[in-house]
Amino acid sequence: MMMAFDADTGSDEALMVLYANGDRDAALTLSRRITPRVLAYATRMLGGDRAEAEDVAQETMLRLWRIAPDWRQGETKVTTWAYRVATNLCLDRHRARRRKAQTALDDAPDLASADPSAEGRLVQADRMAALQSALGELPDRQRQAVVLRHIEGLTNPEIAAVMEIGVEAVESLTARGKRALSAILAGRRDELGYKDDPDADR
Amino acid sequence: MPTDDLDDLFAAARADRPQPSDALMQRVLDDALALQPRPEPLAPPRAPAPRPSLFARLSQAFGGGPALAGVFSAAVAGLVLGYLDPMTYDYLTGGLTGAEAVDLFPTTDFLSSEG
Repeated sequence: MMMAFDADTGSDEALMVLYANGDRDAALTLSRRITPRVLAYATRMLGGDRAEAEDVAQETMLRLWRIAPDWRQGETKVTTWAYRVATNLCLDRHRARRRKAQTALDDAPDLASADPSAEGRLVQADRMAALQSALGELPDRQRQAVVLRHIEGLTNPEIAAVMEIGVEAVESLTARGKRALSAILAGRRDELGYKDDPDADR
Repeated sequence: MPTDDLDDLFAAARADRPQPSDALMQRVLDDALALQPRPEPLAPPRAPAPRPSLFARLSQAFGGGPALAGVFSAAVAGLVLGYLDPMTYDYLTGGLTGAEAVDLFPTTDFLSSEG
């Protein structure tokens, strides 16, 4: 008996084949799966600049569609490939911004919180802004490793595949990145409400 | 900052994942559909090749057109030679020999005679 392929549960790699064969559902499912991950990653990598992160996400997906007909099964995971492309795009934009040496005030991240309390939302917003700012002070490779490991939740082997380095190098980068973040944020602990956190008792 | 606080910050960042806007998702999907390869339409089934005629099959059995032309030419030549009298061509060969008959194998009886 023939069984229809379920685009919602199929692997990303299978969806790439379906997309290249003209399946519209595969295009929709891949868009829904990959775009949010790339956008979130790019937002962290670009210091919370939502507009640039959206451009990076769209460009990454555009390249994904273009490569789909030539996609070779079993060589790379689609998400790994997407993170890799997004990284390069982010680093290009990061370098361009450094060259321009401009910092727009409206670069602050678009923060949203599920916390119903106004005070809690402010504390949360301050913390995210502080984390984003501290991440921005890390060297590119450390920031990439820390974001992928601790925010995007990738495993070390997955990060190694994205960054095209060894697992030990990933562990070293994330450890150094965390130490650097701790040092950067050490002086702001009180400011960020870690003593008077309204959620501390939850 | 203690590791626990940093982990707490990471957890908050994971929960605060930026979500793509509807406009972005629409742009991505538009790109996807614009760049999606179109499936090639199925080619109509080819009509079966017509069965060759009896003459064509016979021709093929004899080795094709050129071979059959050779056979036909030889047959025509045979018919022509059969209907025409070959003696009418004696004037061509008579002058050459000067005799009614040419003995191409001279007798060797003298070799076997005694004496």
